[in-house]
This record gives sequence, C-alpha cells and structure tokens, in this order.
Amino acid sequence: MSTQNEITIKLAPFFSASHLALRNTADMLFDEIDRFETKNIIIDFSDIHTVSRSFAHQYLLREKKSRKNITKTNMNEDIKEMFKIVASTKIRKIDTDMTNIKVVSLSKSVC
Amino acid sequence: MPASANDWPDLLQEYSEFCRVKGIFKREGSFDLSEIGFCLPAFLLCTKVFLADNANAKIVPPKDKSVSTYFDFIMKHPGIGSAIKDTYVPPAELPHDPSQSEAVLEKLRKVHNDGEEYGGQTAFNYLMSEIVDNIYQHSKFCHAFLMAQKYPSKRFVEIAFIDDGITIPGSFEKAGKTMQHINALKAAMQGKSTKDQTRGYGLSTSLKLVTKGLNGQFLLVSGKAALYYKPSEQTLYTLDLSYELKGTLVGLRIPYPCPKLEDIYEYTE
Repeated sequence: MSTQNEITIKLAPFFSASHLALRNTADMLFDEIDRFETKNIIIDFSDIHTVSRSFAHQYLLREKKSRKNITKTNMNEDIKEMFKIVASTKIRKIDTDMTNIKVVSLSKSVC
Repeated sequence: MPASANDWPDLLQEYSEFCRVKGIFKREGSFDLSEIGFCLPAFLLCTKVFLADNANAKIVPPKDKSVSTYFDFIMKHPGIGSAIKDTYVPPAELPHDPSQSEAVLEKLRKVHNDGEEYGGQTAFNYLMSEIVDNIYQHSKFCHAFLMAQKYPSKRFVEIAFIDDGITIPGSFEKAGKTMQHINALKAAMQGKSTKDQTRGYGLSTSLKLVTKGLNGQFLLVSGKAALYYKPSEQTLYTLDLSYELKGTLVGLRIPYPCPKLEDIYEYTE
C-alpha cells in the first residue's frame, strides 16, 4: 500500500520468492527504488523467511548510497539477525584453521 | 607426496571417478560409463557440465540398467520444476541472467521441502544462497548446475554445485593476485575477497556451517587444487592435469536426516 508521500514494496510478491539469495536481487530492488520520485520507501519483508548474507550485505551497501529514506518492516527474527551480523562485521578474516592442514599431491600415477 | 586412492575421502573418490572417465574420453574419444556403479550428485554434475561442453561426445552407458536409466534421466531431464519420477530429483541449471535465478532456487527449495530434513530451512538456504551467489559474482560461467539428493538408506544427503567458469585461482588472477592454486583456495577459505575487504565470507562461513554446525563434509575443487574438510580431517590437494577441473565444484555431505540447526549465526559471523 502506498500513499502520496511514501511507497511500500512488498518483497515476496515482487520477487515471487520466500527467500532472497543473491547480491543481484538487492541490486534489482534498489534499481527499482531509484526509479521512484518519492523519497520515502518502505521495504516490507512479510512472507520472506530468510535472506542470505550476500543479499543483506549488498542491501546495506546500496542503502548507504541511496538518497531515499528507506525503512524495513515485518522482518522475522532470522532476517533481523542476518542484517545485524552483516552490519556489525568488522573487516577481519575468518578463522578457518588452515595452518596445520596437510597438503597431498594427486596425480594420474596413483589411480 | 602422492596419496593412495584407497585413502581418499568418498566425495573425492566420486570426483576422481569422473576424472577417470574423462581420461578415457581424452585417450579413446568415448565417454565410457560402462563400469560406473551408483551415481552421486558430484559425479553427475561434473559429467553434466562436461557433456554440455562436449555435446557430440560418444557415450557408452552404464552396464547396470537401473544406473543407466537414472543417468539418462539426470542428463536429459529439462530441469527442476518439471515432473519428477519417484524420488529422482533432477539438477537445476542456473540461468545466465541472475534476475531469473531466485525463481530457480525457489523451485529447488520446494522440491526439497525447504531443507527441513537437511538441518532446517535457515541452514539449507544459507548454503544454497552463498554458494550460488559466488557462482554469479566470480565464475563467468557458461554452464552451472546444482543438485541435491537424499539417500535415506545411506543416511546422508549430498548437495553439489558446479560451474565451468574461471575457477577460484582464476578469479584471484583476474583481480591481479596470481598465486599457486592451493594458496588461492586457502585465501578464499580464509575470507580474502577479490572484490573488497567487507566481502569474502560466503564460502568460509558455508564450510564452517556444514562441518561444525551440521557435522558434514565439504569438498571444493577448483583449477589445480582441492580442499576436503570435515571435523576430524582437513586436506589440501594439488592436482595434476588428469585431475584438474576447469571450473569449480562444491560437494557437501550432510547426515540424513539432520535435525534443525537452531542457530546458524554462530557459524556465519
């Protein structure tokens, strides 16, 4: 539902999906947002069950660059948590322990 | 140091079986599947991409009739969303246009009941999303497929992703960071991105989620390197020409049924 001063985009019917996976999906959303003259945009996450880390990260990047006032509504706890994690991620490297990993050579002679 | 084939993890043996058949094709001109037994997703997707890039290859079918029927179904099926025979679930091909891919993923989710038996929908969708997004962001693929199949009697589900793109080492090279292929895989798993420093978490957090959260196994093959990871065993492999993959394969094995992982965020931060 939209008024003269704001527009609401319901993501589930907009993308015909209940989970949002890709960075490209966030880009498509913000390309659509940029088309509107209206400054106030509400993004409705009703019926969206999860968003990926990649989607959330790209969403926040685009939101930061946008000149619109963008509000998220109807996020479930999983979506809130994902945005929270992405927003708070400091630039650090993952602790996948590779220091003592063994290295093995595979060659045809072993078949 | 060479490794004995008998020591290889199952997921890697699956990939090596594909390499064996590919080797026969290079020597003799036919893709000889006559000795192939049970076909699993990692093997099937490697074969599917190979045959997509070698459309005129002569194929010798598996001798076992049921294996041959299943193989035929997987290779020729128009894809996820069409009629499914019994418990056969066909691979999903990723469209080149990423704007069409959410719909493909949605169909795959529905067929697999949103991953409810594979650790729950949050875990399942995280893995699907992050690995597929990597394919779109980095690979520049011609063909890319994903496939999931549960094996109740074997008590695991295998999920595989493949693309025939520029590989992880190739992606780093394109970004001006040329390195040995195993170092490129190490870098990717340690969160180094070819794009910017706030990125690079998808593959490494997926590995953590699969191996620590779901007690599963993770295989990554890209270019001349491979990584196998499970809680009790981690190995990097350098691959010679006969094992090199011109693309990237991710193979996951998760216990089946796998109870819902309540909090995936411990593994995704």
